[in-house]
Amino acid sequence: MKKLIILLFSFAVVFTSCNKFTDLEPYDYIPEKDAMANLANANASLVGAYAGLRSYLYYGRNFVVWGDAPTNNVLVSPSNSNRFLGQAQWSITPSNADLVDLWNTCYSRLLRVNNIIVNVDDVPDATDANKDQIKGEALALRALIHFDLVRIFAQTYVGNATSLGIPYVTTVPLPSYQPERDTVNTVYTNIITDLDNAITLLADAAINRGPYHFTLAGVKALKARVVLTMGNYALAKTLAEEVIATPRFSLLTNSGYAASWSAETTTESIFTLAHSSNDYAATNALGYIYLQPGYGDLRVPPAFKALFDAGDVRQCFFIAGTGTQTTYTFVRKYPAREGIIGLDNYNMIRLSEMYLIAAEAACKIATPDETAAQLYLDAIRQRALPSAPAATETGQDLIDAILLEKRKELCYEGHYYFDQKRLQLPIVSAVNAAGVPYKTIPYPSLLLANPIPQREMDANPNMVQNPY
Amino acid sequence: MKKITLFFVCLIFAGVNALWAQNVQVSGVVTDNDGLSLPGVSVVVKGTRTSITADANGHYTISVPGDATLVFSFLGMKTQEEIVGGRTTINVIMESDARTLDEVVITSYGVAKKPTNTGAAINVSSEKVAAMPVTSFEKALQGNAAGVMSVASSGQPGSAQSVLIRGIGSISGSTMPLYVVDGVPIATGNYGQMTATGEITYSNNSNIMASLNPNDIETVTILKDAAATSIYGSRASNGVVMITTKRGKSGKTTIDFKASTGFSTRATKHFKVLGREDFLDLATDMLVNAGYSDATIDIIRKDGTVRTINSMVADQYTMRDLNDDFYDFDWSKEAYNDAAPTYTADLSVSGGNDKTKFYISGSYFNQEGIVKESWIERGSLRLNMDHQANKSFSLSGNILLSMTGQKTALTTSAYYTNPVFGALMYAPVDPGILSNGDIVSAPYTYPANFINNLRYNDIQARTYRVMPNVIAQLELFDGLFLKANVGLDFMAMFENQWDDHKCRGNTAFERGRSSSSGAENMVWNETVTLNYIKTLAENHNFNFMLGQEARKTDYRDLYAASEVFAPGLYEVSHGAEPKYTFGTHNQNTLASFFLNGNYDFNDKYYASASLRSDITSKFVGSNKSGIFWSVGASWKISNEEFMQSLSWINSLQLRASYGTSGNQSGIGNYASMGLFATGISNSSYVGKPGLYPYQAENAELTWEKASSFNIGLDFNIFKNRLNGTIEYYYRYTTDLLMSAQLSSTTGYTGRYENVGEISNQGIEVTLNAIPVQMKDFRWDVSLNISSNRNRVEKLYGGADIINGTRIYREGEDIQSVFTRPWAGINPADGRPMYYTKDGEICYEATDAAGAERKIIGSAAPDFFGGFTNKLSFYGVEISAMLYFTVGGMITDQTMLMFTSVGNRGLWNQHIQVNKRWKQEGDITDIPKALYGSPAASHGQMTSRHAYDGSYIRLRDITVAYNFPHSWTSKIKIENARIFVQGTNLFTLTTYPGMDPEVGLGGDYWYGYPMAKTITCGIQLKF
Repeated sequence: MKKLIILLFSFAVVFTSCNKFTDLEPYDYIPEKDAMANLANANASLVGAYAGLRSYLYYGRNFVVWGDAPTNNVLVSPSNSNRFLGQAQWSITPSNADLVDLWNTCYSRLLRVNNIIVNVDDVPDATDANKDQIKGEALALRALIHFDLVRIFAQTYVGNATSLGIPYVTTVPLPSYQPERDTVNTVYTNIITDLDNAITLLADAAINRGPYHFTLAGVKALKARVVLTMGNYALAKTLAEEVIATPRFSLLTNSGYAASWSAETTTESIFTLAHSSNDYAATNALGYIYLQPGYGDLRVPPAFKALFDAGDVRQCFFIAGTGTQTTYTFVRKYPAREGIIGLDNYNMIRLSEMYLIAAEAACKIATPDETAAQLYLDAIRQRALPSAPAATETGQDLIDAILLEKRKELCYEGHYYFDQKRLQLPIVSAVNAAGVPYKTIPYPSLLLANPIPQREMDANPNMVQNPY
Repeated sequence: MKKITLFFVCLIFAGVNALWAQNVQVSGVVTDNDGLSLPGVSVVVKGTRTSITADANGHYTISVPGDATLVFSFLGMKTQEEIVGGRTTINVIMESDARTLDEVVITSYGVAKKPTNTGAAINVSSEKVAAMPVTSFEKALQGNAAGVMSVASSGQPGSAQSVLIRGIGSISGSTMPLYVVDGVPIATGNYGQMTATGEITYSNNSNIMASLNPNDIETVTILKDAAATSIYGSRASNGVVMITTKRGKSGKTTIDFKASTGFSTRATKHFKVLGREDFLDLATDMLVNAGYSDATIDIIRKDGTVRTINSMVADQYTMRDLNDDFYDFDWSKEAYNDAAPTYTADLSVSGGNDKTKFYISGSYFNQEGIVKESWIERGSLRLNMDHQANKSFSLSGNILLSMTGQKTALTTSAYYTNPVFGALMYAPVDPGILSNGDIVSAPYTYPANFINNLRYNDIQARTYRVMPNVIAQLELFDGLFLKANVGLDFMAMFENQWDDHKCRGNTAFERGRSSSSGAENMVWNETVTLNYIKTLAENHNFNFMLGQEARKTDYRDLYAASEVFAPGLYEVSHGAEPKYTFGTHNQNTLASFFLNGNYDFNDKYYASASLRSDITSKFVGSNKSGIFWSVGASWKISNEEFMQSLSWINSLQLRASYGTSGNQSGIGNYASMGLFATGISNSSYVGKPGLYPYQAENAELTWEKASSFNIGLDFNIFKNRLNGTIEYYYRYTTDLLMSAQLSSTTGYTGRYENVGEISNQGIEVTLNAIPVQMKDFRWDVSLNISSNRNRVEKLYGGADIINGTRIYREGEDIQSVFTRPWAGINPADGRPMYYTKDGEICYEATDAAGAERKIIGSAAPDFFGGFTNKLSFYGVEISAMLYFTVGGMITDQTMLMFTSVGNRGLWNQHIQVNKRWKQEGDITDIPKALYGSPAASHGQMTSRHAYDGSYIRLRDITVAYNFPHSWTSKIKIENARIFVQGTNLFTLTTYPGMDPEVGLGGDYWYGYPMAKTITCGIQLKF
């Protein structure tokens, strides 16, 4: 009987201790509430937000390629790996993986950012300067991500402000969150608000954390791009010129130009997305899609290459194929650092774009300043080809020359498609191996607003599909 | 009350030793009350050490003095004595002994012979488990147990088997049954760590079940209903598979030896791609139809003949063979082994005396895969000991040591470098190896070549497993037992991967990468029970149990990689540049208390009840605990007086049960918590560590609960010539665990939630018959058929949950296939057509074009089962098992890609495309060839690529010969047997894809195909 009592007693001991036995804390994660518990964690959250841009589903590759793949800047290799065919052929369906991935990735990155913005003011050990710095950068990121989403999933701002944009998220949403789409106008209004707040907050910031973080100049440069898209040329010109006037930036020289593409940063780097050999996307990286030793899926159409004069330093963007591929020209804008294909930093915003924005805006303001426009254009054109004559074009010819120069200068950096869309010009699609484009998309066209992903339609009853 | 154990029985033998001068040969069959043969019954000549064990069919033959007494003993049965008295045939029916329930030895809280008298359970004998040349025992369950669906998800040696008991009872929670070895729940599933890196992995190919040697298994008992499983409470809602390993028996020391060898090749080869001429024709069609030039050029062959070919095609494929013509390269030859060897050897020694018994076994198994560069090997060692210290105290100890090595051929996650896929994709005119023997590193079709990967890359895994447990039992006083079972299941796993610089597509080019991972998984489990067994007034038998159990699982792993190597060095430590390192560590715990009671009256009426409480670490707050219970009753009608006149009925029993059980496996260990994570590629930036939101909180998350009803009838009639079981069940599961889809705008695409309710109901029929039983000829037939109907009863959100081509919709089957109906090919222009909601024709499988999406079927089969015939005559045994599954749709992503005629660029295509539309008026179901045809019209999974997955497969055929005892005894061999066995020798199906056995999901990508195997071997018993 004694044994039995001992036994029952031990049962009781086990019983009372089992609550402790079954309360386990994870080793590999921290609880949500601790993510912004102190300054160190808040800074880590901000680091996480920047790192989030690097996903190959976003700025690590897909979004950048998206700026060129739908246009005749690229030729689709006959032996392509099926990547970016939807963009190249303008046949994106709501189930398209790139489309779904971009939507999901952007919103998951917005959660990273919103978690910072919503909670940063309550970080106990942060000074006001710390808070301004962190919040300012996060607000700029929030504007950037929404700007990218609205350019992919909605019609362009000018003339379509009342059409449907995308949900602009400014909270840490509950799992039940099922927002409706905001109008394009609301989205742009919010972007400007966030950028203006970021400018205010970062103006006071003592530390310049560039070029791998958003700085005051970086936010202004982004805002210049945004207001250019909105057709506010006066403001675009002012902002671009403010950035150009920032002492720490200068245009690359002709002699340093070619080598700059494999450098980590250059004098033009306003905001650069850093990649290291430990965190780059390997075979999913940007360079891998273009280079022959990579996938070499998207190549240079002969007609596009022909736009570059002999002697133009930008011929360094191209490289002839080898082996069985000698008839093709490959893109070498991302030539690989340390000999690792796919390891390249990406310039989110670089100074040349500001010159070209200033040039275009100078032509389009109420009182055009063509002299200024010509000077900005020459800075880019003569830098590439010193023997090129100074600009003499005026009127529409000057605008066309600036746009052509922008296409050439920023090719494969993810701009041309968005510029054509913004300008409401017809878009000639990617070409096949025979040089024939798949399609030409006029303006207006339903194809200019990509479908909302089927997955989101299925998960969110308040979501309205784009006609496509 | 007198306690009877097997061991005590043995003491009786030390009696008078009377000898008759003349020996007689006595043989017979030992069966139980139900007429089922009892393998492994010990037959001892009373008063001597002469003994033998009945074989797998309950047969025994023994040479004894004519006046001897035979003592038959078996665990859970009343020991029985038979005086030979000159007889040569003695068939024995053994009575179950209710009072020996929960014997010293095997189970933790199970029951010995038949684990339940009221619940639904089925035994699969060691004969069936060990007979098949398979890597892990669950594969042998296919077709051998009603209600158990066991299908391979891959043909890779060592890959996982999906085992489903009575339908799908969960969405995201595990649907796997609980596996219990000698009373200790063990770790199951796949343990491959490289998955986490996004590197190429074993994925579902590293099944840890392969570490158990099927030859060590005595019986597999599958518990199916609540009465049988609820004692396992929390983890039992998908059923329980109880494995009992072999044990020594007192008496003569027995040595068993078995060796076999054989070859494997692909089970089906009907998926064929185009050869050279057909491909050239297709490529020309594709390009010209897409607007490329139709100019031709002449290729003059070395033999002087001329080939006129589209110039674009000629430009595309510039490599020429020895005749200066296009190559006609057979890629499949580079991917597959046509005769992959397999061999195995097992040796076991068992025996003991009244106090101490042992079983020791060693085995080695080696199987090469049908895809090149894939294999598995396993070495294992087991020691089982039982010791009766004194009248009231006994101790058992078991230990398994095993090592499993595996090499993979990248057939699950890899794509272009996957040999199975590559063998289909690369065009024959695009050679992988040139006539001079050089491997082409960048073929046109895709600039990577799997031949390089097969030759230069290397991915191997090694799993070490140690499974010890100790069971102690103490009789505190008459009828009250205290029992403890403490067990460990420890695994150490290592994977090494070498990515050679010659290969591309899976590594940093031109550098070489070595990666290594190590992982350990430790499960400990302790159970303490108090059993009280009491008989009142002769016929009222009671058995009560009170128990407590605790379990902890701790998993951790570490991964490292390096790049840039000196020639000939491949280890991760040799790389000049260290790369990624990371690791994970997680745990879960479970604490349980349970009560169980059994009652029977006079072997006629049985009743059982159980109650169990589980507390899990996976949930938080009050949701941690779950309470589960069951009641059951059975009536042995044949034991009633009024039945005695019906002599053709040997036994008849009616059973019914109702109860609940739970499920919390299959979800993350911290699934309830809101978590932030860190990680190199995901959140660190410019060398600084970062944080990111990893998982959305759901504090309400709780147990998935199933309640099930079972009614069954067991019968044995016509002098034990026909027996069977008919069973009906209904299982209703609530609070289904699922990673519910969230609007991505929340920042998460999903989180675990309790999302709904589903039901499964079905009928299972098992029939075993002996149509012919003569002196030297016996024919056994057995058939089992199971049919399960699943229905999604309720989704808490109300709305459909769509997941690709599958949908969860109230009122529909959980495996409903949801896609767009195909309307054929427009005869006028060769475009694919689809139906809109109104039955109109449209040309894109998209919402925009108006193409309807609807449920077109289910991936779940209507019914499935096994049909076995066995003939025995003059020592020869021929047995054949057909496995059949009828219904069940397969959505074939591979057929989609390989009949898309241009959506996948210049990939080679299935031979079906020879029937493609070519000119106006063609009636066909293959579209016009069009290079770069859009995904919206050509590349979507629609009803066009949804096929009926029915098939019949000759799962097993064995021809064996048992040498006569009179011959073998001369060379001191008790038993000698030789056999030839074939598995998957033929398959009947209308399914055009690679192989109809595609796993449970019914969605085929390009997994490792199934093998057919022929082996021959020898079995000896000394």
